[in-house]
Amino acid sequence: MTDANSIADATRPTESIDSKSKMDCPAVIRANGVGKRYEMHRHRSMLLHDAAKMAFSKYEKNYFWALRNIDFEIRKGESVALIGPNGAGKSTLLSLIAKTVFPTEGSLTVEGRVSALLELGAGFHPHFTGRENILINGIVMGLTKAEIEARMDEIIAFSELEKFIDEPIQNYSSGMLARLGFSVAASVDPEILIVDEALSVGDAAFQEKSFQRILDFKRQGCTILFVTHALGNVSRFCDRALLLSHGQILEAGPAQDICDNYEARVREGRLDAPRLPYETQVLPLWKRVAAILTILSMMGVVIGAGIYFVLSSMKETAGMPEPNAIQRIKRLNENNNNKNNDSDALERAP
Amino acid sequence: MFAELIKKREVLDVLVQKDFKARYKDKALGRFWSLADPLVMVIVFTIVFEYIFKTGQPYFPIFLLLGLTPYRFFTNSVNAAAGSGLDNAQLVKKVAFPRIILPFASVLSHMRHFFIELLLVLGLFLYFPAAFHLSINLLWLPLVFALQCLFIQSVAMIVAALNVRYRDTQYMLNSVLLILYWMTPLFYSFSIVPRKLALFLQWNPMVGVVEGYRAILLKGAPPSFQLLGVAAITSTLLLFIGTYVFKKYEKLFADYL
Ligand SMILES: Nc1ncnc2c1ncn2[C@@H]1O[C@H](COP(=O)(O)OP(=O)(O)O)[C@@H](O)[C@H]1O
Ligand SMILES: [Mg+2]
Repeated sequence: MTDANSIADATRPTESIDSKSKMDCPAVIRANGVGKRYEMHRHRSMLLHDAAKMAFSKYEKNYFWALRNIDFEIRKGESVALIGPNGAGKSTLLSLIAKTVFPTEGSLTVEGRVSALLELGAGFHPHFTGRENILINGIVMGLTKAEIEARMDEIIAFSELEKFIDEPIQNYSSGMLARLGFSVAASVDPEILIVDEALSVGDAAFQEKSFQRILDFKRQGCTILFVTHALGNVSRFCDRALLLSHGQILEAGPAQDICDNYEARVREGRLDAPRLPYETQVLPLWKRVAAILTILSMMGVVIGAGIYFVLSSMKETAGMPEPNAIQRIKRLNENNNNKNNDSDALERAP
Repeated sequence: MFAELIKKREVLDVLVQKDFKARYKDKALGRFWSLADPLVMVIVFTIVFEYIFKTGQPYFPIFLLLGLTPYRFFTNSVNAAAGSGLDNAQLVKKVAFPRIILPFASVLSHMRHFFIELLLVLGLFLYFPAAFHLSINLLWLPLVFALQCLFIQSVAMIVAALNVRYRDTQYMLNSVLLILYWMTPLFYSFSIVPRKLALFLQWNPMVGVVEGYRAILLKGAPPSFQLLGVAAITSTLLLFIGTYVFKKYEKLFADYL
């Protein structure tokens, strides 16, 4: 049954032993023409500045396609490596799968509980203890409070930080933080595990332990996506690899072949993708008109009202002598219609 | 958008706790520090307005606190909400959770401070029992409070989303809050505001809220329904704007942080 399929889908692993069984598995990640576009020159994105520029000059927006025309399918239980040069869009692709960013075009479906080792210890707070941070981090990653409390000892044991667990984590070293973060992330029981260069911190022993943990997940049938620059690790974990460059998939296939091709391409300088990822848009006229009107009306109302009240207050008080203490107290008392303070105020007046 | 919030209320809860605890973690008197600010303000403003300006407002400190405390709930929440994206940038970029949790967490955390600060009002009422009016009109308090929360939450959503996209939102917000500080009847009673000006100023929902609390607690009267009605209109409008703005930007939070 598989012949026609495997010809149609060239990206499927053909060599690995369990690939036969995985071919029957349902696709858990499916990308169809996915593109992600970022706005450039964001350091200038100030509302007042943008609106004024929109209103009074020809306003362009510059965009950068971090990913474009991405098509692939990943089946349940597969482990896939994403490799490619810096800035190729690997982290962007993982973020799309983790649903922290959303595609500009195309469709991406992800089925199952995703645990992202994008950055260890997201949401850690330096003033809280290790234990408190495990709770915060775990809940943020999608566990319930009860689940975390049940796994607390296990998490602490895995991190090997028993002695420091009730210390504020601002006193931890970065390696200790990574241990704590990984231990929480690894306790989430993911169906899809995403790892982005996260394991490079921590000492050799802990790295090895983390690798073992990931291999355990793999054995349990967890789908794994793995970004790394250590190509040696790729063949250790992954059945399949995608080679990304300039936001496009250059090659896809069995992990070892793709790694070899990647190294060859790097040597020969053949990493260019066929397309330039930049794009410029000029804003339509109605947006410019709307911007002009918004600015003018906002300024008009506030400044107009301010000027009106300032001027009319001067008109009312023009020619009046500066009130001396007695007059002022009297006037205030009249204004307030205040009965109980009357005698008091008069007594105090000279 | 709001349904997600209920599903993920544990995340909301933990962010509120974190925010709240973090503020007092290394201060000696813990959460009672939040009383220091209003206490100092009451003392200073009472000196300025009662001993120098001689406004002659009966029970001025209580009168002042009934304005200042709700107003501080408003400004502090809105300021925190505006910064919530940047403060939690790591979290937003790395973890998928409903972004609407951020402004809600800011508001809920400051709601706690609000309740703590009310202890000060309670203390003053215990000291001057004559200032307090027990009446059936106390039943209006939840309405005023609900309106206040609606207003604060709507503004919080707008500034939380906008500030992620446009970083100068926070600066503009500060200017607006400074204006509102004086345009809200904190140091004076709204009844002495000239009619023409009042027509203009009443659109600030905090006017109705502050005057509502004062009428109910200090006079035993029902709140002004005209002011509350106007406040409800403004707040609902802001809620629609907030929902729209938030929907528009919530998927882009990680892009812009
Ligand atoms: N939030 C963002 N705003 C603008 N550009 C971004 C953003 N995130 C990533 N990019 C750009 O997208 C491209 C891909 O980045 P990334 O996915 O992090 O690459 P890598 O393959 O090294 O992980 C880079 O050129 C980067 O500058
Ligand atoms: Mg990267």
